[in-house]
Amino acid sequence: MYPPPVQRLLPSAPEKKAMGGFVNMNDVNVEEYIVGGLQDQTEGDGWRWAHEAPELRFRLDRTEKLKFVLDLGLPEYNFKQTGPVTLSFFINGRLLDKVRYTTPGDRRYEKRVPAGWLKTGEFTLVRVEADPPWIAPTDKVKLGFVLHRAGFIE
Amino acid sequence: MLEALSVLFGAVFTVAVCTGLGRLLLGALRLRFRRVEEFLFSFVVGSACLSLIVFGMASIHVARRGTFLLFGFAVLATTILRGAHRLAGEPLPPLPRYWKPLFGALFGVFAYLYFFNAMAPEISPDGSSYHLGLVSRYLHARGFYHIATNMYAYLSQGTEMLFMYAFAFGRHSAAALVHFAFLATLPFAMLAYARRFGFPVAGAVGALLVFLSPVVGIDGSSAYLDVAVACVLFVFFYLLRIWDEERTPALLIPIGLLAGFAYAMKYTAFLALPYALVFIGWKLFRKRQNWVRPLAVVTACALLMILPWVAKNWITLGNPVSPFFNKYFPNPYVHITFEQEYRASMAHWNGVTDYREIPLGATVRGGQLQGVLGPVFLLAPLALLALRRREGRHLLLATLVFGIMYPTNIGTRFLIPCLPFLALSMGLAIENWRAVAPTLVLFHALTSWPSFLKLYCDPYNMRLDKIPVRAALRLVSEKDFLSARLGGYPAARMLDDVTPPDARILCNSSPPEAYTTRETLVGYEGAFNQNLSDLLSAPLIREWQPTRQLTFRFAPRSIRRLRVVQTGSGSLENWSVSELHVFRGDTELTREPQWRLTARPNPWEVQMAFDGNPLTRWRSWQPLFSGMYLEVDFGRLENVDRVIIDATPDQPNVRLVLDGQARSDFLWERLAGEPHEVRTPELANARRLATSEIKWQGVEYVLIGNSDLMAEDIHKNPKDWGLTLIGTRNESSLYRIE
Repeated sequence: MYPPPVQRLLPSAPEKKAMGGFVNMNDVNVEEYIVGGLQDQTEGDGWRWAHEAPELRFRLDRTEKLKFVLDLGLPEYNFKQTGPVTLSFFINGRLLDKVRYTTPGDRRYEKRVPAGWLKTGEFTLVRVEADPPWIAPTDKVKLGFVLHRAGFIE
Repeated sequence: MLEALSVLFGAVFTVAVCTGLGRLLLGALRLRFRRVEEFLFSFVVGSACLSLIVFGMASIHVARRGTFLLFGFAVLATTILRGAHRLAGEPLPPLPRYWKPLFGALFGVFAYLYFFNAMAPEISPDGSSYHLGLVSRYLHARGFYHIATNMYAYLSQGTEMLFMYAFAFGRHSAAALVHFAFLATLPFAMLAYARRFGFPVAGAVGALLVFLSPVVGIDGSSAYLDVAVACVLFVFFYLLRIWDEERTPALLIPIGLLAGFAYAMKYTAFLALPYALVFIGWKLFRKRQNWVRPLAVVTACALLMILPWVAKNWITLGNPVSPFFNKYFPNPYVHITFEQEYRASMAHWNGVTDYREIPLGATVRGGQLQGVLGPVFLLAPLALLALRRREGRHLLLATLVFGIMYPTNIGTRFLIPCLPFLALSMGLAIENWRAVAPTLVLFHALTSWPSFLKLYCDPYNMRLDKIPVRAALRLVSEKDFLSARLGGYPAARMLDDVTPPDARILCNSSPPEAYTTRETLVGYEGAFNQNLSDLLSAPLIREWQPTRQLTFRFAPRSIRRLRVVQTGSGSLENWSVSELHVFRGDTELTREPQWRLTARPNPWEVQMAFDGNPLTRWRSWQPLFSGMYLEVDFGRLENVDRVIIDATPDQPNVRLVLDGQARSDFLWERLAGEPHEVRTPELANARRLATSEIKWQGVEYVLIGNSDLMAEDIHKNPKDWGLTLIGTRNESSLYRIE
């Protein structure tokens, strides 16, 4: 005969976060932000490989005084083969910036975005183009950079 | 190189101590044998003694290198001081002239192959997992401790006691070399037997048929135990035959010890004891001699070896022959349904359902049965010709007795214990066909050599394929060799690298646990693991989620005990209850501390139906029979009018009624018949419910193989499972439960 066991404190269902202006690659709803050009699954502590031209979408509740930020990594192994990589950042189709990275490692890109480029009530699209991408020798997949998080902050 | 020396020391020291103990015992009994027999019998009988002594040391937690060293030197010193190391017996009749070099050459070449494979880092599946995994854990704890999560720890482990002795000095390879020592002893024992009883050519043929056999070679050069069992059974048989000739009463002691040691090494060798009792009893009865005392001596000596293992299991598990016969010795450690499935899978190894596949599979192809005896054993029916001779009848009877358990596990290596008797019978059948015997042996040697064997056996047949001299001598690092040759090795090392020392890791298939110090809970290896493993699968198996709500309604009653009774039968499915709720009106009764819960069968897991987690469930773990029940004693009278059961849909033949009892001395009365059933939605957070329960049970890590059912879902959505990836090696990913 056994007494009733300690009653379990049940974990709630994972909260569905509302879409916003910023996303981490290990967020539960990260898929909602991805338009394309990113690896299917999140790795390690929360990153995904971005292909040649990843595209993300965001929902903004305002447009004034916002900066676009993106945390990325350029692994040394790939960098040795590609050499310096240039990333072009497009917001809703307009070129925001073009940055040439000459050394490997983790980086944060950050730049203020003109309010007129942004919209509320519909998706804001961000596209990043990597040149040159690293090409995997076996399956020829093109990989641009490692993406940790991206979005719009004050 | 120092590492290689420690391997050799561990093995040689263990064999020497075995032999020393044997010399002392046989000397004390004043038994006289022929010269080579003295050495062979001393090693084998001594190994039984050392195994028992190590068992004793492990029981009182002094199983450690220092103790082993002291004890070993004491044995060797005593042996030398008493002069017991000198062989004094008469030599046996010699082999015919041309057989001697043939035997020597073939033995030498194959011994070279086997020795370096045994000395190389251990890569056999069972050796690197449970045989040495458990040895390593025992040594770490300096002896036995209660292992509730590994059914292999419940098997008799007589050979592993010898492995433990060697492992303490030379680790894995020293243990494998101890098994190699049995492999090298067996053909000489067969040859000596045949020389003593007058058929040396048949002996040489039989010994080589066994020694050169590919499955015997790979088994005997790994930390397995089948060849050791075969060697012990053969020497046991040999001593019985000597007793039959000489009737020396003292011989009954080593005979009894070896009969018991056979059980201590492997359950299926238990037949040695009845074989000895019937043989001795019959021989004495026919001559109208007193048979009571001799049988009592044999039984007592055998029980000396058997009872420690029986007692260990009975005391710690409640089942003296665990992990089998759980129906007769029900216990919380091995589910009855699992045992039934396990037995069925062993009897149909790797899906072999047509036993007509066995002759070709076990001799030539090997794939599904994992190992080949060699094509020459297709001629095994020739052995029946040996029936013409008395010796042949003895050997064939032994073949039958020690082969009779084979259908319970049809892997080729499970034929090894009866193989020496069969091979000698084959030798007897052909020894007088002048050119046939050496031709057959040479053909067997050729077809058993690795580079030839691979031409005809299945590609995935278990076999030796190289002579890893450099790895054996540790000129290649053990890590590099194992990383290249043992698939799960990197994952095993990862466990040590990224988890704390007390980590427990749930997995569906174990990485080689002999190479990790962490506790791995393999899904099928114990009832506890099986519950957790099923829990991890449940979120992805609709049938295992509680999507049925069964309601019993009845007029309000004041009762003390409730019992949900299952009345269905004749189906293999299990009954399960995910949660049981008791109501008064709209209010669910709180599960009070004074409540008492029980179930029939499987009372140990009844709390799983009352833990508040809808994904966990109490299961009968037995096929349906009428009279199963789940019972709640409220400890006082309670007014109730409704009982709701959350249940899974995988039990369509379950039939339930509800009984109640107002007082314990009252009769049970029916409160409600068949419950009203409604469907409920699947659990929204099943993944998290599963992992949180696993963590609640003290397991914080899960190792997911890429082929596991839930692998893809977990890899894609670790957050939904509450998991964090902390490492990946080869095909395995290690997650921590947050």
